[in-house]
Amino acid sequence: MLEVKNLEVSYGQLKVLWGINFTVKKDEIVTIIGPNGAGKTTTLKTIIGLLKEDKGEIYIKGEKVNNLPVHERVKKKIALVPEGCEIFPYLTVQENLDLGAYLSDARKRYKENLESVFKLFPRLKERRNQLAGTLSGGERQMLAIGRALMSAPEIVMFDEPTLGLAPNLAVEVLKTIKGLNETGYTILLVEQNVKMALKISHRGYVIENGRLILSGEADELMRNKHVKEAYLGL
Amino acid sequence: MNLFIQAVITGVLVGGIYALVTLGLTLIFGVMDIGNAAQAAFAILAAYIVYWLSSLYHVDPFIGMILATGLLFVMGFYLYKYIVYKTSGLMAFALLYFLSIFLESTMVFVWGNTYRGIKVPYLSGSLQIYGYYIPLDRFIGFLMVSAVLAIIAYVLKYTYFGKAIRATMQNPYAAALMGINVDRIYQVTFGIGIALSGIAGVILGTIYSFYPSLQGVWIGLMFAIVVFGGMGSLSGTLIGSIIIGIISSLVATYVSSVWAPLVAYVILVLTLWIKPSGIKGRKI
Ligand SMILES: Nc1ncnc2c1ncn2[C@@H]1O[C@H](COP(=O)(O)OP(=O)(O)OP(=O)(O)O)[C@@H](O)[C@H]1O
Ligand SMILES: [Mg+2]
Repeated sequence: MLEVKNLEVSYGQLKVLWGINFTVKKDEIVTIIGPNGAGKTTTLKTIIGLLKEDKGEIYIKGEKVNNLPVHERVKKKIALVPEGCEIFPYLTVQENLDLGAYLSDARKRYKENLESVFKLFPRLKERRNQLAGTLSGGERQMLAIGRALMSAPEIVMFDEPTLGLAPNLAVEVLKTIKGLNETGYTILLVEQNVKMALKISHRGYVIENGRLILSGEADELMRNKHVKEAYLGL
Repeated sequence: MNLFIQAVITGVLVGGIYALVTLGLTLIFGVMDIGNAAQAAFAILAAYIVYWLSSLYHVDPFIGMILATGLLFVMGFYLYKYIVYKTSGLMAFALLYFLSIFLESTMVFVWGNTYRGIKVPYLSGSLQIYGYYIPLDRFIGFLMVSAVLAIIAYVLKYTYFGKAIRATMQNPYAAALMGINVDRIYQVTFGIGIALSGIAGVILGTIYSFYPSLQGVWIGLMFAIVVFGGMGSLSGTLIGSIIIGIISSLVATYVSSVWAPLVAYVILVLTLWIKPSGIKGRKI
C-alpha cells in the first residue's frame, strides 16, 4: 500500500533524513518509533507532500507520487492525522468534519461516513455546533481522527495521536486505532508510547537521527535489547 | 431632528458602499495576510471601464459592471498566480503599491486626470419616504451592496468552497490535508477580492465623480476601515464601514464637509490606541 525508498529530506541546509526505507502492506498496522527529533514527523509530512524530498521515492498503492501536490496525493485515499491535531479552531466541529469530506469521492459517502464517525465518537455528535477551538485535548484528537475518516481513506497515518492525553485516554485512542485497522484501514503509526503502540501493531521500525536502525515484527522488537533499554525502560 | 435622521440615512447608504469597496481588501488580508495596496486603484479602474463602455459604446452601466467585474476577477487571479504568489510580506505590499501607482498613471494617461461620472439616466431623482429624501442611485447602490454582501456571507458559511476558504485562512497545511488545492483558493480569493472592489468602484462611479488619483484617497480610508473593523474580519468591516459612514455624514452635516474625510483617521488612531485588534478581535 505504501512504500518509501531511500528517502532523504532536509530543512534548508540541514539534512534530517538520511535514506529511509520501509513499507506498509495492506491491512497492517506499522509503527515507527524513535526519540524526539529523530525525523518521524518529517517522514510522514514528506509522504503526504507537505515537505519535498531531496532524494528517494514514495509509492502509494504502487503509484509513484513524488511529483504530486498534497491535494492530489490525498485523492489516492491516504490521510494524515497530524501531530497536534491541526483542527480549524474557528470552525464548528461539524464544519471540520464537513471539510474532511471535501473531495468528491468522500462527498458521495458523506452521510454514512458521518454516521460512523459519530458512532465511533458520540462526544463529537454532542459538540457538533461548538467551535473546534474550544474542545478539550482528547476531543480535539477525536475530531482530528474523525475528520480524517470523513475522507474515506484506505491508509491512515497517525502522528503521535496520544500526545498530551491522560494515560487512560491514550489507551482508548490506541484501541480505537486498533479497531479501525480491524475494520479494514491500513495504518502507519508514529508513537511515543512504545509499549502500547507495539502491542497493537504488526510490525515496527526504529528511526534514530534520521536513519532506520531496526525493523521487524512487533513482538520481535519488544524483545530486542536496544528497544528494551532505550524505549521500554527495562 | 429631521436633519439628523437625513444625515444618518445618508451615512448608512455611503457606509454600505465603503463596506463593499473594503470587503475585498479584508478578504485578501484575512485569507493570505497580504495588504493589497492596489485595491482602490482596481476599483477606480472598473469605474473607468464602465464609463468608457457606456459613453463610447452605449453599453448599459449594469452590463458594463458585470463585464468589468469579470475582467477584474481574471486580472486578480493571474496577478496572484504569476506575481504576488512569488513574494510575501513587505515585498508583496511594495509591489502592489507600485501597481497602484502604475494603474493610476496609466489611467491619467488614457483618460486624463479630470472628473468623470457614470451616467445612469433612469437612476436620477430620488425617493421620498416619510418626508426623508433618498437619492435613487444611492438607494439602488445600497441594495446591490446588500445583495453582494448577503451572497458572500452565504457562500462563506454554507458552501464547500466557502468552508475551504475559511479553512485555508485558519490553517493552510491542514486545509491541504483535506484535499483542498490551497494555491487555487488563494488565486480565486485574490480574484474575488479585486472583483468586489470593482463592483464597488462602479457603484461609486454612478453616485460620485471620480478621477485616477482618487485611488490614493480611497486606499487610506479602506485601510483605516480594515483596522477599525478588525484585520481580516468581514463582519467587522461591515460594521466599521457603516459607523464611519454615519459619523462622516454627521460631521459633514453639522460641522463642515471639509472635515468629513478626517473622521476615518481619527477613528483609526483611537482604535490603535484603545483596542488595536479592532471591533472584531479575529478574522472572519
Ligand atoms: N521546520 C523546520 N525547520 C528546521 N528544522 C526542523 C523543522 N522541523 C523539524 N526540524 C528538525 O528536523 C529534525 C526532525 O524533526 P521531526 O519533527 O521530524 O522529529 P520527530 O521525530 O517527529 O520528533 P518528535 O518526537 O519530537 O515529534 C529535528 O532535529 C528538528 O529540529
Ligand atoms: Mg514529531
